[in-house]
Amino acid sequence: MNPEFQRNLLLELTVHRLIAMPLILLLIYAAAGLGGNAETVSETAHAVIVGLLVLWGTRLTADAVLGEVRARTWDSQRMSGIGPFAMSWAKLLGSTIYVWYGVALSVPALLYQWEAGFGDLLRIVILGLFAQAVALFVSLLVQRMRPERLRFQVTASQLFGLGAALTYWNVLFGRSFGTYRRGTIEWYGAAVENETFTLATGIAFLAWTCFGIYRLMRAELQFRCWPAGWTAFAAFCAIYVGGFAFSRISSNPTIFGVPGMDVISRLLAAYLTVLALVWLAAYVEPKGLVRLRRWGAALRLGDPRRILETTPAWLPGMLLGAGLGVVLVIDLFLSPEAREVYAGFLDMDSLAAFAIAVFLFLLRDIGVVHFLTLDGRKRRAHMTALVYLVVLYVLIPVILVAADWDAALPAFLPFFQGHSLFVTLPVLIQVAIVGALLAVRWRRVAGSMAET
Amino acid sequence: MSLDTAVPDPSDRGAGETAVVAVRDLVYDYPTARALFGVSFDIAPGSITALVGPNGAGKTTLMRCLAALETPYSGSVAVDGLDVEEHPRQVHERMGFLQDFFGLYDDLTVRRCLDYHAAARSVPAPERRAAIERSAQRLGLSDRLDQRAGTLSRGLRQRLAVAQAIIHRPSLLLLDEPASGLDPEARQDLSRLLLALQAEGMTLVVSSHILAELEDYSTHMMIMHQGRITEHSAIGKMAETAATPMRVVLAEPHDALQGVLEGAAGVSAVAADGRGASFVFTGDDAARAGLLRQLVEAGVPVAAFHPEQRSMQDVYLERLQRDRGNGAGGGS
Repeated sequence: MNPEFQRNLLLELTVHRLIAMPLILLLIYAAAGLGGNAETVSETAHAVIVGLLVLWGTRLTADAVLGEVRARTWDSQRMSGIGPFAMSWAKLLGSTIYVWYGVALSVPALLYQWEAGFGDLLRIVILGLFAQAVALFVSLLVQRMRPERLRFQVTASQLFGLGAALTYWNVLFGRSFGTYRRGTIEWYGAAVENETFTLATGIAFLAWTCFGIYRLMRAELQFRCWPAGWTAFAAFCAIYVGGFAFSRISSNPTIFGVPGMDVISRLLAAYLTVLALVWLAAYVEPKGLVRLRRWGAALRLGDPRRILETTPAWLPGMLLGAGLGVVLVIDLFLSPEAREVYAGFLDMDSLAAFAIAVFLFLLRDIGVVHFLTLDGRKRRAHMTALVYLVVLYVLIPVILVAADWDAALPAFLPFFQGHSLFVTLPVLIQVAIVGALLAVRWRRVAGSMAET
Repeated sequence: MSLDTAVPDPSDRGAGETAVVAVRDLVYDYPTARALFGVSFDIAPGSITALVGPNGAGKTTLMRCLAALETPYSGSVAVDGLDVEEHPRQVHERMGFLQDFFGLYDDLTVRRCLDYHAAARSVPAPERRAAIERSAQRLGLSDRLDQRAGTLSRGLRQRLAVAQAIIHRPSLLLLDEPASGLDPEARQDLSRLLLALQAEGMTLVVSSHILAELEDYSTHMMIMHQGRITEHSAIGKMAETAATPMRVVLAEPHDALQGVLEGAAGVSAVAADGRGASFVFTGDDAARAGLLRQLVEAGVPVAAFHPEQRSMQDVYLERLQRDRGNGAGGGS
């Protein structure tokens, strides 16, 4: 048996706990039955299962690795013979084994008088697993960003797990999808049953999260990693989101039926999705002078394998985004009919200018984050970067709108309106300024390190 | 694999092929400062190397690089010929590491802790029970196997940590401050254990501030200062070539003693008193015999002529002062 899983079994499934769980559940369901009726028992069981899987489960998985770090046992696990795959599933399922024990005991109560069938039970299980996996994934990300420890690492990781659960819950049972559960959804022009699609969506994103855990675990266990994982995920998300793009706007009679519109819509959705994920990767990835210098040294040596190992994870995604952007712009110029309609619909000179502006904003933001995190001295550099970006994207635009200076908005937000030059030039200047600041700081930090 | 410009000592190249640990041009950077400056050295099989140096010298960083827990900026570390970056798992199978600040699974019994580490280090299931009993017996934990780790005293926790580190019979054992928190008797037991492990063929690297204890079992001393190895040699050899405090005792007072000593080659820091003189002598045994002959021929009534006892600590402090005077020395 996997030794890490076995250790979790020993710690989690003690005799006392094995007896306590059924007794407490029995009391809960007895109270529900006596206070209500058979349906109340099933509804209570539903709430208990979700609570166990999501609220408690995310706490346990968020603490699965961070708890080891705190207890100073993580390094000995890193030095063990347990591989990244075995370590990943042992952490995910081993740390929550007691939760699953409670869920298993609650299933008869759930099915006692529940209208829904095993399909919904499966959805709840996937919801719980997805939330737990996200919490574990985020905790590994937090651990990777070691120089800047969060004060409440476990709680922060758990909150992400809860956020993921809430999002997927809304997809499964919420108003936007839940109302039409028996209906269909249009994806790349095909009508797919809502129930099937949302279930497949959950399974797909759960699989990607587990893959992410495995990749981060590889890095933790000092295995060599290439930056292909995040790029592949970005490509998947681009394809996934692209499937919805045309259906979302197809009801608009102004643009419906225009040749080439479907391709442009999907390309634009895919492009924005990839850039958003690149932004996220650039923000959460460990960085700083040491890593960048290792990458630079690998480039100088010209060793392809070492270059791949040291390349920042956001860079291939950015290249993918740039490629999508180029295809989008070319497609726009090759489809003048669609471009005109799009321009009228969006009231802008050029969609191409917007696409370029978005890319430039991404470059600026990556520059800002790297500028603040370069020397590793500032303990809360990532948080500082986030605050500055919120100021740039939210506070200043709000003030500009309130002051009726809408014309200045393209300097702070990717904008659809205005001349192409006004949309792109202000952010291009910002990119140049941030680039210059970054170069100055690089020289200063590298110089001070050389003196040590 | 090297990325940096530091040049290793060419004389190290051949030795690296047979060494248990071969480090070449190792550079490690923290975000704010460089911790290791092109460190190169070999560790011979079956040796016990005392890694010493002041706080912040880079000892723990070096240990963590050897244990493949940190990725260096450049350079290489090979254990039994395996590059730690290329084959981290295979290297870990050959290695045990006790960190300065370690943790235990407090809710597990000693037996379960050892069983977990044996399984995690790929000890085959049929051999685990014997491995647990052997490790527990070596560390004096046989009567504590069913006790929870969280209830153990500081010294017993340290012993359990050592038992966990050796349960898979590694060929290389890294110990960072292994005796901290141990009482004198437990320290003596630890010294015996390390010597026994060495006798079985294990190679050990021990980092510690307690030099008197290292002296009991170390075969080599490696001094680190400001991220560089400033001295690495067998302890006997180091003592031979080092400046040695000497004492000459006279049968009766002799006025010319101070002058004769000060005029002799290799002699410094002469301090004469009524019964003789203390001085520092640099040279091998033949040079020392020559000095004695010179004293006798000068009519000095020598009653005794011997080196003053020098501990490992004396050698360490002397080298450290020299390194500080020289600005930390070379890069390997």
